Amino acid sequence: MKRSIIAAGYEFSQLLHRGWVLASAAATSLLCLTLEPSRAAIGSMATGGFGSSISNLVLLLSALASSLVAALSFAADEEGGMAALIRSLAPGKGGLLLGKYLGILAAISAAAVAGLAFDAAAARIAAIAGSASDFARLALTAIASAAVYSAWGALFGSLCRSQLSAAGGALAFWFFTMFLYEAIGWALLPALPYRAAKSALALFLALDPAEALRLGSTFLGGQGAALGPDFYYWQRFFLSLPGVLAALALLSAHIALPLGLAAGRIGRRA
Amino acid sequence: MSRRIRASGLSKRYGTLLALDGVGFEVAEGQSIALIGPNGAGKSSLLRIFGGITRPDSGLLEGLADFRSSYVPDGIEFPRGSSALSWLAFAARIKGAATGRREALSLASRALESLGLGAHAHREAALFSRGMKQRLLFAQALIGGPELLLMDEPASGLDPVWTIEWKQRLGALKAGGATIIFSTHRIDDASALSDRLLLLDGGKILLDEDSAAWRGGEEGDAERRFLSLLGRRAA
Repeated sequence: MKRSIIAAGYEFSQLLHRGWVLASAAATSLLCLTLEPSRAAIGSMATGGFGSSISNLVLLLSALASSLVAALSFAADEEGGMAALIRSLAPGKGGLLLGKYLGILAAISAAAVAGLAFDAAAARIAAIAGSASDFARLALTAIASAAVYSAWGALFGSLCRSQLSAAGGALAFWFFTMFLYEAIGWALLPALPYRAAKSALALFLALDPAEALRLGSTFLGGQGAALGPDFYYWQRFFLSLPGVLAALALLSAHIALPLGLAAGRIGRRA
Repeated sequence: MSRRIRASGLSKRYGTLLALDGVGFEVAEGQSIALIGPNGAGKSSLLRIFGGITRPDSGLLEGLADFRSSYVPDGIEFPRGSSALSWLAFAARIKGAATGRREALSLASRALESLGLGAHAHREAALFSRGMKQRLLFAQALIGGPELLLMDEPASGLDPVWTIEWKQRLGALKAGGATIIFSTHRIDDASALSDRLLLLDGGKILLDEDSAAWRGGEEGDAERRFLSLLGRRAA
């Protein structure tokens, strides 16, 4: 565990010193600020003080940034031979992978929180609706999104020896899970018998990281998007205590699966 | 009783390429072994297995865990944005040679000074020349006082001054009792710096001999013998 923490600290300091954290925070803040005028015009929506556009943006941006950064960072180490050297320095390949992942997650979370905090402060000055709890909900959604997509990025970075392939794979995966999966699902689900609809919907939503994030962050006030009466059932469930626990388990599974596969890939590569 | 490392039947395949084909030999504590052979002979694969980076497909490697080992790879890319000092301090902490950040920085600073890189400590390691990167990797390997030193073409890219320095360091480490296994393309270095010489080709050991047999003689004898051994096998 100690080596995981050292690896996490090193990865975080790398991203900080290279200006990545600052640049990402500035991008988050700038994009949120561009949406503030529409938010001021239409008022706060179902997701709380922050508008659904901003909520959507945070989810998209955090997922995109985390999957790309993780994929590039892991692939760069594999491509340049550094990963092999680091693995020769200490036993416990899984611990080093976990440490690197945690460092990336910490950097992305710090950037998201800093960017959103700046936006919240600006909104407050402009007297636009939004409270501290709204900001906290949005920040937590961003962190959850980063946690899931960094893990998938780590998997792509471990699978590919070239940075270009890893970034391409991570980008395609992000696009598929964020946009295409939903379209395919809604085309297929109505064809199912009515009795199976509720379970099929649950399975459909749970399997996709983006939909799992929307479900899993329901209790945080995240994107519990209106997906029809069947989803209303699941939305109510995810607001109860068993639902919160199930949401946490679901998100954990979406983190553990890609990280486990990445560890397995590194082990097989050896 | 002195410690030993025993490798037997080590095989490693990368796709269709058989990099190692049932390699077996023993290394006694304090011994220095040079691996020579043409490109693709299996030298790097063997060192990577000894370094714990690669697992053999089959075969046994016993006694390795009894040694505190360090590995010097053949040319790697350092992460962009990381100074030589911060990277070396990180390596020291990951190795467990330093407990805190301050101790790691002090250890790394001393290691850089000893390898003539003190003035470049705060420069980005990724932008170093090949020889400087090699010295940085050597510094990494020396941190923590290794008992077993594994080096893959450690002198490649070094300038003449540091090649001489490297040979002297290797001699000092050997005199200090370190066990050393290194690969090289220079037959004269291999015979001069080692106790035993292992000639590899096609993933097999063609020759395992006392290095003294390769010393002396007329100029070019060693090279001619090396080529004839490979040629005889090819025929």
